Order: sequence, then C-alpha cells, then structure tokens
Amino acid sequence: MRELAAIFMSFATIAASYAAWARTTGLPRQLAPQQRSALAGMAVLALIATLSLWPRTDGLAMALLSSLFALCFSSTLFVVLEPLAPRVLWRAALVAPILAGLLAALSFLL
Amino acid sequence: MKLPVHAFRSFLAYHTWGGVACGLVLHLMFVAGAVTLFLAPIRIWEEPLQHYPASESLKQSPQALLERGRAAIAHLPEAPKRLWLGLPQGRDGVARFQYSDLKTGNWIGGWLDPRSGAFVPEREQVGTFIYHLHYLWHPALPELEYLAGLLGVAFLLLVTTGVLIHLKDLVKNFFQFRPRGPRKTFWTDLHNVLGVMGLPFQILYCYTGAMIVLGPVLLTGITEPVFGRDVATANHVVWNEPGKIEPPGKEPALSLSLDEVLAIAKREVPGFQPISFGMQGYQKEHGKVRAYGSVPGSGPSRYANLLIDHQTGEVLHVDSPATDLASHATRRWVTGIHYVYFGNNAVRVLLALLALAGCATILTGNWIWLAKRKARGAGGKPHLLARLTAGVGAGTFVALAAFFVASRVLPMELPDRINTEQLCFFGALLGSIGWGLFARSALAVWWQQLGLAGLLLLIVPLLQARLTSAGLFGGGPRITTVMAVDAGLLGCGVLLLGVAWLLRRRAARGESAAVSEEADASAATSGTPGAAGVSGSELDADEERS
Repeated sequence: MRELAAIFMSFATIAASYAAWARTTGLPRQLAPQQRSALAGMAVLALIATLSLWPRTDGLAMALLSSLFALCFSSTLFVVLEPLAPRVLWRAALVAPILAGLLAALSFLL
Repeated sequence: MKLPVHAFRSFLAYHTWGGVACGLVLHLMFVAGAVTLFLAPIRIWEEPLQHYPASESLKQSPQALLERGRAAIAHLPEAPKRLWLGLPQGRDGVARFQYSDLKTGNWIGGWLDPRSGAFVPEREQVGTFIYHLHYLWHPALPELEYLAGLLGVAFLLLVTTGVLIHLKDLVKNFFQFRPRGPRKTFWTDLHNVLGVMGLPFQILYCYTGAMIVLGPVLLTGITEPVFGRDVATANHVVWNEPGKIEPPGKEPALSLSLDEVLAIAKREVPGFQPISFGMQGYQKEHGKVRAYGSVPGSGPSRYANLLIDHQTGEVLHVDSPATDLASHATRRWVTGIHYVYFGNNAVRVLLALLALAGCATILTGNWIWLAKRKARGAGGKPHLLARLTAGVGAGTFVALAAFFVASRVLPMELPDRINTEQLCFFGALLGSIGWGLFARSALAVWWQQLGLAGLLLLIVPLLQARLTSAGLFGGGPRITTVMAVDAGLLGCGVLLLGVAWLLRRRAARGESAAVSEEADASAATSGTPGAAGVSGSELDADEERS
C-alpha cells in the first residue's frame, strides 16, 4: 500500500515539476512566475514525500532505487500523455497526492 | 554544453547506425525481460500440477521428498552423478526434483505430486523459454548468450552517445513533447522523452545484464595474469568458491540425510531457510551437497549457500553476505539488482512498464531514421527497415501470445511438447516478420498484429480453464498466483487491443487525409473551387502507405 502511495506521490511530483518548468503546458492559462516558484517548491516537497514513503524493507538504497523507477515511470507517463489529454492528466495530478495521503494513512493505521 | 561539430557527427553516426543494426534484437530482449519479471508466478501458472498450496509439499521433510524423487529413477542402470531438489517458495507450488542425464550430463527435471506422490517429468516451459529468450540462450546454441552480452554493451554505447548528442538541449527540452508537430518532430520528441525519462532504468539494467553475461568471461581472462597458478585463491576471490575441493570418491558411503544437512546449515548460518539442495556423488565417499537458502537480510543480501561434505557433515564453504569479500559483494549487488531481489510486485510492474518504454525508445529511433529519409525525398514504398520494424516490433507480441495459446492448447501428454511449443513461437515470429515484409502498409501491420496478439492473450485464461480449475475461469478452489497471471494476461490483452484500436483510428485518418489530398488534386486540375479548403489536415499521410 505504501508503494502505491509513493507511486501516486511521484506522479504529483512530476506534475508539479512539469507545471513549474515545462515551456508550454496544457493548462487553461499561463502561470505567473510566482506561481511557478510555488509549484517548484511543491515539487520538492512531493519528491521528499515520495522518497520517504517507499518502504525500507530492503534497505535505504533499494528504497531510493525503487522511488527513482517510480519517478521515471510517472515522468514518462505524464510528459507523453499531457499534450494528448491535458484535462485528464491535470485532474489526475490533483487527485494523486490526496490518494497518496489516504493510502499512506491507511498503511500506517492497518 | 555544446560538442564540437566532428564529435557531434561521430556520436550521431554511432547512435543512428548502432540503433538501426541492434534495435530489433534489443526490442525482443526487452519484451522478454519484461515478461521474465514475472517468471516465478508464470512457472506456477503454466503447470497444472503446481496448483497446490506450498504447505502440502512442505508437510514432508526434504529427505522424504528426495527419496520420492530417487524412487522415480530407481530403474536407471546406474545412479546419476548429480541430483537436485527444490522446495516450493511462496504460498503456492510443489517440490521439484532433477537428476543429471547419464549420457549428456544435462539436467532432467520434473515435479513431485504432493497428493499421488508421483514424479511427473517436466512438460511445460513457457516461463523458462521466455527467460532464456531474454538473453538469447538456447540449448542448441548456448553461445548466443555472449551475443546478448555484447548487445547489452552496444545498448550502453547507444545510450551514452544519445545523451551526448542531446546534452545541449537536455535541460531546455526536458519536458518537450509535440505530438501534433510534423512527423519527424513527433518521433524525435517521443524518442528523447522516452530515452531521457527511462535513462536510469536503461543504464542500470543494461550494465548489470552485460556484466552478468560477460563478467565471467572477463574474470576468466584476468585470473591467470593476476593470480598466476594459485587456483585456490583465484577460486575464492573471484568466484567465492572454496579454495580446493576434493571431487567425490567412487566408493559407496552413507550420506547424511537432507534434514541433517539442513540442521547443519541452520547452525552455521542463523536464520537459514532452505530453497534447494544440489548434490554431487550422492551416497559416494565424500559426496558434496550445496544447500541454497534465504537468510535474514534486505535486498540482494537475502541469499546464502553452503557447501557441505555429504558424508561427514563438514562445512567446506559458506557463501553469505557475512563472508563476502568486496568482489563477492559487487557480484551480489549486480545480480541482485538485475534479478530484482528487492521490492515486491509494485517494483516488478514498474520495471516491466519501463522495459516496454525502453522498447518504444528503440523503435522510435528507427522511425526517426525513416522520417529523416522521407524528409530527404526518399519516400515511396515502405523501406525494408519500416517493414522489419513492424514485423519484429509487433510480431514479438504475436509470437508471445501464440506461445501462451499453444501452451494451453497442446495436450499435456503430447510427446516432445516443449519443442512443439517453441516451434509455435518461432513459427509465429517468422510468420509475423513475413507479414510485415509483404504487407502494403507498415502502420496496418502494427494495428493488425497488436490486435491479433491482444485477442490471443484474451483467450488464454479461458483456455487455461480447460487444464485447471484454479484460475479466474476455473470452478474449483482458486490459487492466487494462477488467478493473478490470468488477470495479468487479460490486462495485457486489453492494453494491446486498445493500442491497436488507436493505431487503426490513426491509419483511417491517414487514409481520409490521403483521399482529401486526391480530391484536392482533382479539384485543382478540374478547376472546381472550394474543395481545396478541406485538405488542411495536420496529419501527414501515413509515411509507410504505398
């Protein structure tokens, strides 16, 4: 469950990074520089959350490696699909951190 | 950072021609690798005899299981030199027994039915074949494995040159993908995105794969210059083998039971849980037994093995994380990462998807080459590379799907069943390549073959219900592993059908664009106004259309 939470959080990380740094996005309006800076900060926070969510059962190195693969997958998915289906992707990006939080909370509680 | 022009051109040439030369075989290896990530569940899924909870086999001690295997080969004129017993791991499966063929020395394996007690020779190798395909190994030509290693090195070269030629735009174009741009831009962006995003996976898995295959060759090459004639030290430092082992004698002698061997292993390595036992010279003077098992540890450090004198119980060697030299730890990590001795199914699914993205990186490289060629005005009929890319690219999925179907359709009692299955795979692959070579449109080949592969995969779980009641569509007690593989095959089938549908739609739009262009042309020649307005489709007509 924590792995899934980390994968959702990696998706949110990539979405925030994309909004902050991509030259063009499928968002309905252009973002102001301050908004981009805020999104960059959120991306860093989401990245930290992704790295810390992955379970350490196989050690820190393997957890970091697995998180890296999650980020690779999420970035491929997001960058390829965002120009094709922007609405779906941005809505998924909004839902992803909520789902990640819920799953993480459930995994700690259960 | 900007490269000098001559360096850029050289790297681009290496990248382009290397990709065109090696890409299609690498694609086959990547797809097989993605399937191999699920080797353990596929091995249980494929053999109906394995559809029992592991607890049924584990009720008996290792020695009792070994005796059942030995009873099955009591008719042989002499005892085999080597025996092997594997215990089921995880929640499902049965014990496996192997012995070496008296003439060839090759392993002959089978399963120990936990209910009847019978030894059932192996009759199904879907998982094992795909695993071997991943590194191009085949018993008829085992040397192909080295070609796989060299292809791994070639892929590393492709990745490195790709990064170097893309370096100046790496940050600037990091998130750039323009699907509605011209064809060449579309393929170039997609190639760059897939390549850059998948870079850590591609580098890590190609490096570790090449090391696993070519490492022993390189190590053998440096052994004598480094260690001279000191074979014992070389064996220990390089291979983590005991310095010197006396081969088993020829005189009969009592061997310890495997239960006693296991007790010794547990005493020597605390927390040792058995996986398998390999025996040489069983019931001979100073026969040897190697006990493989898992130990408390994380990631690649979770496995250990011990070499024990089967007659006296003397521990000759321990290969565990606690006894590793730096060279052994390196090997443990290299193999541990490549064989995914970490994480769980979530990691395996991620890696499988990244491997498929790697396939797309390779194939988009070919399409860039074709798009550039077309831009130079060398269009016309589909190029051989376009035909081959379609035939091998999509044909790999058709061949794998046909292989799965054959494994469920062929009667279990069929003599030489394993070879017949493999012939089905190679026949389907060659047929798909031929289809690609002679088809009029490469895009049509893609959607038709992917659609066919999807349909074939969708029927596999239904066919599985003929052989076992443990799957998704079976009526008996369900086995989680079998149901999971059935569900995975259904998912892959739906995914392939979805991609085929999208490609078909694109092909149809390409055709309508072509019809519009023809209408424009005829309108222009007949002087009819108005028709030219509908030809402004941004879709460029299918480059492969003849």
